[in-house]
Amino acid sequence: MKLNIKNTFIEELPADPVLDNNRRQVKEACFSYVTPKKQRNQSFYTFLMKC
Amino acid sequence: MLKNLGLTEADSKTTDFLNVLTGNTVMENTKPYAMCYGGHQFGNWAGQLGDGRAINLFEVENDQKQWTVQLKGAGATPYSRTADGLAVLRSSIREYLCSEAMHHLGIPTTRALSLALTGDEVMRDVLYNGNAEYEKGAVVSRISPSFVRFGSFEIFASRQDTATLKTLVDYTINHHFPHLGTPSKAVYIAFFNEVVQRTLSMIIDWQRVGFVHGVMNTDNMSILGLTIDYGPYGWLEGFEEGWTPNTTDMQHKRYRYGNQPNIGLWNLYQLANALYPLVEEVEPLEAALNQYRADFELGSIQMMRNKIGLKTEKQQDKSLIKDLETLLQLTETDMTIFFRNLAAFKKDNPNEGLEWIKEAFYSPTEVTDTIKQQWKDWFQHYATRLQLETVSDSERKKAMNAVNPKYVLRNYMAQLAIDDADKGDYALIDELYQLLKKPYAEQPENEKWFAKRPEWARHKVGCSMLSCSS
Repeated sequence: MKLNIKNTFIEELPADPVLDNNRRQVKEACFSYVTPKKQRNQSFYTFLMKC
Repeated sequence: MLKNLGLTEADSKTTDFLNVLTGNTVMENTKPYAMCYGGHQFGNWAGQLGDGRAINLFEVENDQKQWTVQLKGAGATPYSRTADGLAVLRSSIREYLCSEAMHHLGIPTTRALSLALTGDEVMRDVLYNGNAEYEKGAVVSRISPSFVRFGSFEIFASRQDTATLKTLVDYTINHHFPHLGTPSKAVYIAFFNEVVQRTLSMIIDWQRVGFVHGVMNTDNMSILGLTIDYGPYGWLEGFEEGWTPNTTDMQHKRYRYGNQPNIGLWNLYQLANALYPLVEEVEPLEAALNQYRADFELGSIQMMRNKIGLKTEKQQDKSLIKDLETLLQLTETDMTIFFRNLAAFKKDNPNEGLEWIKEAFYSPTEVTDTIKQQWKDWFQHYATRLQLETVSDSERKKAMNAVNPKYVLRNYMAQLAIDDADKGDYALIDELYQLLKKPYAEQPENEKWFAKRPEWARHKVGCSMLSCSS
């Protein structure tokens, strides 16, 4: 899988310096870095639909 | 959608692809993030909101187009407030099917790329009435050139953070409105004008097909004028200006069908306020908003002209259309069936009019002689008006069928697909997806979906009543 990745949003806009994933007020930043959750049952992942 | 991103069918069958589009692995050289934004919810400033259930994975540039890939339901973020950041199969099917249906109707929208089960169970209280139950968890990947919302700008304006506001506006113009030129005061005004026009055009499209968004808060308004955030949306069955599917909005019906154009304008006022610190002049922003009013008036009449097959413009069209909208609400009348069947009307036979459209009535016994007479009168006026047109009946039919869909995602259809999916049968999701790829085509083999809402669905949860629970 080859994608022509660009990261303009995170490269050109100010980031939240806090990296913890706790609920908070975020000031002077357009986004916070987060990591998607790994589900318990990884083997269960199945596609139902793809466009 | 795969092709738009520069991917092949083969790519989509890889484990890599599955893992990335479910949030299970993070691709190299990418750093997922949740966006910070605020918003007005049901008319009130709600402060910081942000992506509470959405995680942006990366952007892709392909064919000189920029796309952001975002997961919905892949876990909590700093903006999840009290929620878990997960999504259930029910709401994921609804988002997947409806965003694709809208695209194929020719209405600007974010797209869906995939729908996956996570294998986890998620606890949800569907009607917020204390009856929580476990539901299947799911992740939808959705795609848009940008997921920036009106609320993305409002949050900085509300905090008097003009520096960050300017950075975001400039970024948005440079990447998504580059034809407007280098950001300046004049360009900010041009930018606002374009957002006004795109938003208006999207809402007129909604009105044309009977789509009710259900929760038009400013954090659910795309800066690109795309339909975004498919939550408690619904489709008009009976044509009814006061209808809303959202149970959370039952009391005031702020987001009812007939009020969507007003709410679009109200939301644009909030955006204008947010952009004001950069423009520092009220007049040009007000002028753009006044233009919305004027253009809505003209645009909605033109849209209705198209729906009833009028190519030319005449003074009397406004009253002909107004009378029709009143008539449609005298007794419950299916919007989709009405307009689709109206295309068969013959301008030399106005007396047959009622025959063509009577299938659209939900309760034929309610159609009294008085109502019948009103319809007959209207068909006479309509026929007289059509005589002023040069196109033939068959040409008019063709034109009408290109703007009046035969197949829309009726509320009960999505619910049937959900009920099956809960039992482990996913065939109907694909059947509806295929059906809605060609909403204007006759598809005689799918005639069973060109039918009024069945009676069992009238008051069923998910069919006529939806909450924001997802």
